[in-house]
Amino acid sequence: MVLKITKKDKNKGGNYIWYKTDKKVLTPQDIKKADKFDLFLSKEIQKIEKELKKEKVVSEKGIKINSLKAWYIVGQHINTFIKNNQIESEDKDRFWDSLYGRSIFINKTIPINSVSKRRNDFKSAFLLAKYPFKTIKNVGAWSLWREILGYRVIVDDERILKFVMDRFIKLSRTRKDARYFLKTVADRLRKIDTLVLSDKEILSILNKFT
Amino acid sequence: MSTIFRQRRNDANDIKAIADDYETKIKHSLWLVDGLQKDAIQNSWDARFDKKHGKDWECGFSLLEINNEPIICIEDSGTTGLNGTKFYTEEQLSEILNNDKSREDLAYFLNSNWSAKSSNEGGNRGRGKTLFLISSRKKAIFFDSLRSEDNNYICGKLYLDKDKQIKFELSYNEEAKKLFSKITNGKILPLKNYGTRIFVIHPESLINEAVKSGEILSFISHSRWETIKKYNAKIFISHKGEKKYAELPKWYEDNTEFQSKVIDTEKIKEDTSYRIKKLVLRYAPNSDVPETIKGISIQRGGMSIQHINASELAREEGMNDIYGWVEMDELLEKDMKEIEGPEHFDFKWIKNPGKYLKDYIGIKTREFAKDLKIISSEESKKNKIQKTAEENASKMLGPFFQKIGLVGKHLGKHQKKSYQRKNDELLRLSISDIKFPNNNKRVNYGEEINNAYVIPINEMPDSILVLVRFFIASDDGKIQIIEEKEINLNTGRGPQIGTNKIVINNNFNKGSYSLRGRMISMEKKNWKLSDGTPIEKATILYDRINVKFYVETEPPEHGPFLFQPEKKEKEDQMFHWEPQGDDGYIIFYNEIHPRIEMILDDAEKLGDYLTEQGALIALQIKLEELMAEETEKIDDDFKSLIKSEDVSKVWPMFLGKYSEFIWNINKNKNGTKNNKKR
Repeated sequence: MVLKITKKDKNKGGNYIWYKTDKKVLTPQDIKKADKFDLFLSKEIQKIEKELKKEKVVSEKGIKINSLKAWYIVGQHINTFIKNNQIESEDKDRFWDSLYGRSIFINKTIPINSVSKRRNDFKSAFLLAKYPFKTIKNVGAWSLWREILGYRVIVDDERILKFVMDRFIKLSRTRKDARYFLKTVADRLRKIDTLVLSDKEILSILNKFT
Repeated sequence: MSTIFRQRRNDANDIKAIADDYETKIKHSLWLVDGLQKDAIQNSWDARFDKKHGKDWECGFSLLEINNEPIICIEDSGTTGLNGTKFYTEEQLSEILNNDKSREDLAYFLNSNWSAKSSNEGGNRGRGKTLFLISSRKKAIFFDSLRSEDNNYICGKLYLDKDKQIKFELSYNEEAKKLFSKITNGKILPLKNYGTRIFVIHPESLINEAVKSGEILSFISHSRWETIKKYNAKIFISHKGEKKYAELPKWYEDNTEFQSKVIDTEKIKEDTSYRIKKLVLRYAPNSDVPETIKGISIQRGGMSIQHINASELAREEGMNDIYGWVEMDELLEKDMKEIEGPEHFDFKWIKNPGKYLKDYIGIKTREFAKDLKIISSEESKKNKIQKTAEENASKMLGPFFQKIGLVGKHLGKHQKKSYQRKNDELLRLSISDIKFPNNNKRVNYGEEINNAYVIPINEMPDSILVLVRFFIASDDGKIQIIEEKEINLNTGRGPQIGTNKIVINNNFNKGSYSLRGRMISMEKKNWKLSDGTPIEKATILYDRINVKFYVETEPPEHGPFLFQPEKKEKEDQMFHWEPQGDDGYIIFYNEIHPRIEMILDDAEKLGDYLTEQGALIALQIKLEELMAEETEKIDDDFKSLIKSEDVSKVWPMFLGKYSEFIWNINKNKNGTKNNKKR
């Protein structure tokens, strides 16, 4: 699959278009397909913008009034888009990258460098949208969610993610405390392959964290 | 009185030897599928009624299940069936075979190494049918056929018996119908139209999978495209009621967007009568021509026997984008058949007319390449100089990249720690036996990685229960487990975990992969790892196994930059750079800029210039990266520069680092020169 990506041109300013793929050489058909896919994506982005405005979670100038809700809406749309448009797993990272720079209502600037897939806002939003908004909201703000989803050991085992969410819902924390908690959990599990542990065994480790 | 005995052959060994021959010749992991389709279709095509137009001919492969056992049925119609003299005794059979007559299809079909096909037919070595037995895990097939010459129906079984002899059973007409009904439990009706069906009992799973997935169709299309194109031949696969037909690959369609050259009927060598019927050459740059199509296909009997790589014919860049095919006239085809491998996958090119043909194709391909300016001696010479210069510059810049933390295209952007082999852990995995087919760890389709296993080692005083996982990780994060095993690891070396060989087939996309191993504790111990981590259940004891290999791809070059020439009529465009994925940057240099143009034909001067400019560009890129990403790993000079937010400090800092770099490389160069003088 070939994806059309818009990036900032560091040398000349402005944007440039980049067709990204694993393939060594691009055929005109590849470009056509990428353009078609890009058109579908643009239409989806327009739908997102419309909903963001309707829900009043962004201002007319593109400032987020409710970041969590805004990103949740983005995530829901991306979920639907991915379901309807087959994106091969090897293209997922490029897909996340390709979402930047399409709408000032979603993000005002295009990152100059590629964004780490763990820090990609769109991927985070996609993961968020798998849970009910009420739960997401009870866990904490968008900034906290970005922290949570930045930890691989937490995201890679759903049992750990659920535990963390549960803890944040039950015990409200300051941003600093929440950061400390997440770091402690991640450090504890850094040398553990949690996949070989049963639910009971993993909980016996996690329940030691307050 | 002495007795004459008939020598007993070990047919089981013969079958294996033939299988080995096919595997060696076909050179990819699905060799059996490819060999089977090629031979089966060729036999069927040779038996077609309408020799001129192939009218009503059809052949196919169906995956069935009879008595809960998978069966591959190879069937055809529009063919004559297994005609020939009927026989009832061994003596009658011997007489038929020894008479060496043609049109004894039945007798030849049932016996190995007998064939009396004419030269314009596909096979004539009588080996192909052994592939049916090779394809069966039970080494058994059955068949039925309705014969056109006498309307007789026949049915039989062919199998490798316990005494290692291939035997067969054969019945005619009503007896045959009874036998067929008995074998198939009455679930399949006997043939009503002329033709033959061969049922491979319990085929090798690779064959089943290739039919299920449709992969066999690509082999069919690539080897039989000429038959499909000229005769609109119908070749199908069928599974669970779904029938798919092989299609003409677009590369062989008459209408083409590619630049082409067609040479009709021409003598390939003076003073001989050998002629080609047609040679077609096409140039398809930037078009992803599949590997199986690349090169010039040598067509015989309507099938593609072998592809000669165009770069083998002329060793110049760009030749790989040429593909095409050659069709031979009757005499050339007849004599080429004599030097064709019995598997129909190659020719003995050192023998004539093979050598004549190869030389001829080579001359015509080079002419074609010259017409297209793929080969231009001056141009290619210039390219070589530039390439050398670019590579030298990249090499010279290596230490500088390391120093400023811009290390390694394809190695990430973060600073690479200088490599020091860590001490062996007391609990560890070893992968020291692994063998790659090529030194640079490139693995092509059909090649194998041998000894792909890890050996767990325990140098602790007691045994430990561990789980060892050995897997392949692709660059896109896909994981394929090779083996995962829980073992009680006693002190010393444990068992091999993995496999003796990994055959690289086209299930692997082109790209880089890592073989990784991880050992996980499955119990709590009162020990600690060398970094102080206590061992409990699920502790990762060892995960330092990470061996890269590259499928159909050259391993990455070192250095985060690639230099690439471009032509721009703009005075302010001397250099520019673009990121290349997450892997590095391409620095474009304008080869028509007067400063560069004057040194284009001097590899040393160009290399030096690119090195010097590359150093400055590297500093700029590093600064941009550091400003865009927060990182703790940062050079002190860069740190204070960024902190100061003072633009006027940029150039002096750059100049200092640049000067230091240029000083050192020139000092080294002069040292080398002086040493040479001495």
